[in-house]
Amino acid sequence: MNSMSLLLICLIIAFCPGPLHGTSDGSVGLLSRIDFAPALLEMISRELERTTGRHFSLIFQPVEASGSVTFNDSTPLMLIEKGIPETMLPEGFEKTGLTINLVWVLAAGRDVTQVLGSQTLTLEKFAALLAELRQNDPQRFPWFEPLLSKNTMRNFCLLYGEKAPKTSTKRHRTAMFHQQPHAAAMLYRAIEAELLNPLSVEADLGLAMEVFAAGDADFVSYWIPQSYLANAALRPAYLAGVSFTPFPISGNRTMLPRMTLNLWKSKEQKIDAIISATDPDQQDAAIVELDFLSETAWINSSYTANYDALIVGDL
Amino acid sequence: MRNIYISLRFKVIVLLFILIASLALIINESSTVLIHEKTREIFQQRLDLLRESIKSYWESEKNLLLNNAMLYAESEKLTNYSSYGLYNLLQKEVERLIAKTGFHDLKITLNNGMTVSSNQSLITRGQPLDMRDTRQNLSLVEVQNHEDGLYLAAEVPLHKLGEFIGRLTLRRKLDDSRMKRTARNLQAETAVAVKETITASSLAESYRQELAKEHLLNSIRKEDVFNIRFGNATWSVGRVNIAKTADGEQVTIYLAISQEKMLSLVEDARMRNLSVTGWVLVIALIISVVFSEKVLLSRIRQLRDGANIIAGGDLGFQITSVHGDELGNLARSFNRMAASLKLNRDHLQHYVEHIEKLANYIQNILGSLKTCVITWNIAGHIETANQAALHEFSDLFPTLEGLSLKQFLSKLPKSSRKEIIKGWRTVREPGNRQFEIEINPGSHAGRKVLQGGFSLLLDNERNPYGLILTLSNITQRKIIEQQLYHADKLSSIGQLAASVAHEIKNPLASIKTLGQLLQEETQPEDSRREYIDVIVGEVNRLNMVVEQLLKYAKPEDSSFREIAFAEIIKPVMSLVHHESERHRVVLQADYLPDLKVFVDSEKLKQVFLNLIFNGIQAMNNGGQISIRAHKQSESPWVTIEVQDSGAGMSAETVARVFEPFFTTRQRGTGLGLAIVKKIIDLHGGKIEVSSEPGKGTRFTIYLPQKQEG
Repeated sequence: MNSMSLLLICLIIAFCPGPLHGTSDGSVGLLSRIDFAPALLEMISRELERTTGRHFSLIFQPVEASGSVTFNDSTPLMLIEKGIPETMLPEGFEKTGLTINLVWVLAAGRDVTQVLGSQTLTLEKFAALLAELRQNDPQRFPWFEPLLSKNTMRNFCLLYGEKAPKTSTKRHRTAMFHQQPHAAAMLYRAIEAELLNPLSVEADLGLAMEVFAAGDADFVSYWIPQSYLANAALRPAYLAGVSFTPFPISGNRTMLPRMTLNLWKSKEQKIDAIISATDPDQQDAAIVELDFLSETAWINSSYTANYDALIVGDL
Repeated sequence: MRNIYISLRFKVIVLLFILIASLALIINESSTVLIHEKTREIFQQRLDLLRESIKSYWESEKNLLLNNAMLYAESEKLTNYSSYGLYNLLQKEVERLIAKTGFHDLKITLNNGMTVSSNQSLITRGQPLDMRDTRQNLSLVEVQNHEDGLYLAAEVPLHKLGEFIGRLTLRRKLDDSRMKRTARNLQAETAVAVKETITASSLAESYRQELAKEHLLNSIRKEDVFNIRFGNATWSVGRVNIAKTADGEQVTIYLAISQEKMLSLVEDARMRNLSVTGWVLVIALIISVVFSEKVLLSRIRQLRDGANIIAGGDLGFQITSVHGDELGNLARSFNRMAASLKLNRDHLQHYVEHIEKLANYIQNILGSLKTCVITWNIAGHIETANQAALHEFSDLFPTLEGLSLKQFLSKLPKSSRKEIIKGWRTVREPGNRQFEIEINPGSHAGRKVLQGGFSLLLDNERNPYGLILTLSNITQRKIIEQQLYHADKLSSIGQLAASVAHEIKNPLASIKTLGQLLQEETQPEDSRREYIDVIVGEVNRLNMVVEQLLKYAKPEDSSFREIAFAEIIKPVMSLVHHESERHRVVLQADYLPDLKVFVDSEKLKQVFLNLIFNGIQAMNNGGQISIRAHKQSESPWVTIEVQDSGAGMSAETVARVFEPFFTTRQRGTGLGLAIVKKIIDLHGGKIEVSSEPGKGTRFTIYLPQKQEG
């Protein structure tokens, strides 16, 4: 899904009456490198409403891979991904102090959530669970990922390592997916083991969320507001029964990539009753603050190699 | 039988209207029949065309279904979802794809036996497909007859990167709504039947039942086209065996067209024709009116007006607008007739003028004659009378023409009648017998004396045609002759009296002188004085008589002039006023104010003085004297009457009343009336007297009027 499609979807969401909003108090530009799916945009909108007490329509302004930004400065408020240089921002804007944290987590379907219960998901458990699910239903793949999304690939590489020379050994050729030395190998093995849906390599964030929502996958990576982790009541109704957990990584650890959106306003704009929301830290997960500049740099330099490795299996 | 006037215009219009109306109605009826037949033919063709169309439609439906199925089979999402086990998503996708397409369902059956259908919420798992069956890779379209209805199903293989992964089935239900859609497209009611059942139809339920019965019957008859009654309407139905189901059952499609629509179309066409015919008739009527007006009536009216103009006498009229047709020929004939009439009239007028001139000339001759000319026709009636005759007999007859001899003679005196009859009888005798007749025109005019005779009136063949009576008025001549006779007589008496008067005048003067001397010498108280006074008085009276006698005899100069009668009679009335009152006599004058007389006024005053005094002296006990003067229009006389209511005179007295010295009074001179007679004679007039004892006396004076020139 390209950025223009996303923009269109956002506009449709913004201007169509529905459960997303009642009467709009204005619009807020959203400036980020993430190719947000409609469901995620809705979550951000809800979070913004929760923190400001006002309902805004979101106008998504994607940042191109080259890093260039086309601002729509007609919106007096803008949610801007942390790390975007201020030189790229329009003049006459200032931070409001309000932030929304988005974390990249592993979403588990309702059936799996019941199986998991409250136990902590380790990488081995995750692998075993996938294998068990596959075995139980050989017609479907338990895991689905939007691997066409560069940021998703970047996040996997961030969690499981990126392809580098000599990272794979002969041992790895027979090892299971979770035992692979880097993300591309891991994902390739998962596909090969029919645990990860092969369509993942062609799927974007939107398709992945659709597959998960349709119940055709038990696991999928998910961007959610960090507040959802601690307070399930904040989640939208369609996520009821879905559990979110930090991605398990080796060493029985979990990792939580986090991206922060800062609310900026034009200096002429006055906003009252800004609630300074503070998300509780996830004690058992290592938070990885995603940085716009470094992420963009990686995508520009390393994404292709890692994705190619995933496709051709050049491990 | 009475002729009813019907204008030519009306006849022409009616004729044209009937002709055009008949033509229009014939064309209308013909066209209606033609339309009816053509419509029926078109209808039959349409039904045949529909039967062909439904086959094409069926094929296109199959192709459409197959093409759609193939398009769906090429959907990347469907193949991806199918290949990668995303069955829930696949379910949603097939539901999304099929939504609002009109297809009944979209079903995907995968190799592994998984079946996803748009109308089944559950994903079913069945037996894996038999990959050895080479038909799995074939596409087909078939009719499926299920309990819930008839379906047209297209089944195509589903491939992912060239690998067969399953089969996709797209179905369209042949239900009522589909039949209605087909009916809309084909413009004909449709129904589909399998075996003995109508499975779907666009027809209403009652009609469907009727069709089902017919379907059952027709399964025996095998008619492809037949009629059927739906309600009150007749429908034409075409039958097409379109296909067979997968089970080998015959699928039949019925196409039904209401003939009502056809009949309605025919009726509409008929009404349109009638409307057009109506308009044609209206236009024809207008054209008829215009045609009759412009082409026929205006030109006939021109002829009529021309005839009226000629009848009015203008024979020079010519019709200018002459066209090259029958009316044009008529107009030319009319012009020739008018020209001929004009020529003939000119000739006739010339003759008439000539005759009129001649007649006028003769009439003028007759009219100018002073002699009366009266013609009798052979039947004895007056045919013509000239102006002189009319004038002379105007007092007796208002007109002479047409009078019989008897009527003419009836108002003439007896002596005159005898003379005329004698003349009548002797008309054929040789020599022209002349006779005199006397007529009395009336009380205010003198008698007329006419002299003349009869002549034979001959025609062109010299045969007697009638009689001509010519009479000349010789009254004046007779009067003159009488006056001459009296003048001669009076002249002798006068001359004798004058000589006597001269002889006695001198002695009387002596006697008077001596008598006056005696009076002077005698005292008044002298007894002789009385005798002397008598002598002187009588001498004076004798002198007066002598003076009158001399006056009577003396030839006096006369001064004639035209004067109003009033200027004569008024001084006379004033003069005698006292005398009349003394004798208790009432004077009364009656005359027209503008009445004029040509007289010697002083002498005429003397006439009236003498007559009035004579009247007063005739009435010892009072009375009335009337003076009336008048003039009749055609009479040459002015008539003046002086009438008293005195004692009257005997016939003998009347005969001698104008003689000098004749008097009935003791102290009269006997010259008063003689002088009156003389003065009237001097004027060329005449005086008549009529009197009877005890009834008064009337003097009538006729004075001639002034002769012009």
